[in-house]
Amino acid sequence: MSREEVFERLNKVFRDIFDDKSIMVNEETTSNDIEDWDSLEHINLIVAIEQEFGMKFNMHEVTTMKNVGEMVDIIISRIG
Amino acid sequence: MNLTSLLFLGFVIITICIYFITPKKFQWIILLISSVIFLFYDNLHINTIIQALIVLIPSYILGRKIEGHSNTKQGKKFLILGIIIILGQLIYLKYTNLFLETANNINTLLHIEYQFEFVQRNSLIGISYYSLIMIGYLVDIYRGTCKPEKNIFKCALFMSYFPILTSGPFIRYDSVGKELYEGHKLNYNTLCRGLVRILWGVFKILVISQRLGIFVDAVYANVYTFTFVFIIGAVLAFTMQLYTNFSGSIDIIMGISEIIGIKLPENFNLPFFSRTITELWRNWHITLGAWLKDYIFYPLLKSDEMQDLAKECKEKFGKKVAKKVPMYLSMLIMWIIIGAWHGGAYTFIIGSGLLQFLFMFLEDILRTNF
Repeated sequence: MSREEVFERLNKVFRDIFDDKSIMVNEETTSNDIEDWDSLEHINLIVAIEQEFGMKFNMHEVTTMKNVGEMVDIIISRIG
Repeated sequence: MNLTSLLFLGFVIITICIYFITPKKFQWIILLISSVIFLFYDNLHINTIIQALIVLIPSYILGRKIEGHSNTKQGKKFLILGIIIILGQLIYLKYTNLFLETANNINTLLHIEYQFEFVQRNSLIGISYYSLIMIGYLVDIYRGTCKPEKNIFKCALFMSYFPILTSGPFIRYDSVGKELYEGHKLNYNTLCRGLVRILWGVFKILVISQRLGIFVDAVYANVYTFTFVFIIGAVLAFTMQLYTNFSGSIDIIMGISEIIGIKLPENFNLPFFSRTITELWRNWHITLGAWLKDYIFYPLLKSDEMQDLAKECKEKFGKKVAKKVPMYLSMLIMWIIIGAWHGGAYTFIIGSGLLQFLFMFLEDILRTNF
């Protein structure tokens, strides 16, 4: 799966979780860029992404990933 | 050893002096010796030595076993074994009487005459802190956040670093661990900053907290003889007494560590200037909150069971409820643990746990709906 395809599917998940159709995430997007992205929503988001891509983040990754770019790196490394 | 006693002052001065005249490479040994003295000073007994070893040895051995099995089933087995041993001892030492009290209450309700006798448990100072710190150490190795310590004596220092044994803060191996062994030069600026911080701490405890304590104790001892205004005043004064005592202790601990050259994480951030209860708890005993969030709350919320619950709620009640129910349930479990951690009695589980959960639950419901 290409990076663009991952971003496309990620956007769908973000829009669904945060109930905002205008969300467009990119490599540098962080929790500061999305109003409702707090520590609780972060877990909901992670679980939704895991379901979307059929993979698992470990807890270290959950608590340390800095931006969506890092998230995409992990997804690609898992799904090949 | 009381943090504001002359004995502790002398102990700290001697430790710091020897620490800085010792070659850097061996400074950690001075900290270890001081920590062992502090740990057993009031309570040297074969039982307490065993208690410390029951945490240290499994942490050391299993930590090394987990390495190389991060995030695998095998690693998880070792991790669970470590948690069972460390937590099992903590529960046995702190909560036996709570279980016996519960059994007695059930017996009374069922009109059974038999009552269990309470037991005296002689537990080591700081056991609630270092047990959780070492569980965190094992979890971090399992998650791949840090590598295990290869020297058991260094591992013992991480577990027993004396300033944090009475009031925290909670430390993590990946951030504080290495600083303990690095060795430091005496620095004039950090010495001054550390001394000022220690003085502030002593001032908070001796001048504010203990003076307020006189008033609080007088009112609490004879509640019915005082008017409403005095009682409210005493309740507020008790809050301040508690805060100045706790944060004063933290100031002393941070000050000592600053002089040694070890940077500890802050534990308070002006909690009484918070706008909400949630914010207050985010700014009070910060490192305990962070520990619970990383090692209990997040894993709970992310667990398959919680996600199945969320799915069920989504089908029956919609997306919003599906988000909230697992969150509230995880919060409830976490606050019961917080209450129990503070002490093995129902007063702690209700007052420091369930009541706080209720406040935060109501706050969230009201904020979301009004």
